[in-house]
Amino acid sequence: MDAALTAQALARFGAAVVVGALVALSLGIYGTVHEATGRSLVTLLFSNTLRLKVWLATLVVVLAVAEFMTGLRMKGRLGKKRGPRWVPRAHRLTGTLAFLFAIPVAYHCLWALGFHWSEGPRIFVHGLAGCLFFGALATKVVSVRGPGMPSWALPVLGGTLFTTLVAVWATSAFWFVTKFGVPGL
Amino acid sequence: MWQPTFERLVGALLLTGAIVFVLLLAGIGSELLMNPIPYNP
Repeated sequence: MDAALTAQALARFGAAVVVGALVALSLGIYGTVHEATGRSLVTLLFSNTLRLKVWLATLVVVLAVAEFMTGLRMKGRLGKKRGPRWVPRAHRLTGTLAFLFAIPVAYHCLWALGFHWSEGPRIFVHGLAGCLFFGALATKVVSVRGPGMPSWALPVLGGTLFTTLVAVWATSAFWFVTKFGVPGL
Repeated sequence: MWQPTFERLVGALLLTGAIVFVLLLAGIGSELLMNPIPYNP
């Protein structure tokens, strides 16, 4: 890769990062200035919103683990070669489903609870990681569709996405399970 | 044949999810997902 192409690839990646940063910043500002409604979500088959959120967040993490493993497989870091043809499809499908299942959880956090700066480190880290997760997700979606990105861009973004999601889950659903036990439906 | 259809489906799902998320945060249709019971963790 020549220097001009590298500079071009870095500029494209930088533009994608700016998009992600704007998404993360917008969510953080929204969560701060929006007046929390304190309302519950429709709970479907669950008995209350908290149980719905704990299980949905855990499902998102399970899908993210599957996406992480298929990502490693696609890059030849897990097993021999890059795996069969279904691996990239499974990678995209699990990522998309994780995003869709994360929407009601994040929506309730932002709409009903808001972003809290001074209610303890767990809540602050949860809010911060949540905003960074959606920012990294936006950057990855823009990058994966855009041509000529640096070869390290997607692995770095995938790792960032996975790390921020685990931080979000660890400071919410996992914290709840360790404190109150596994919730029923 | 199958691959472009799959890519389009995934793209459409991501775009739809993003639009729904933004609309909900803007308050459009948020009543559809909300329960009248106050949230009491």
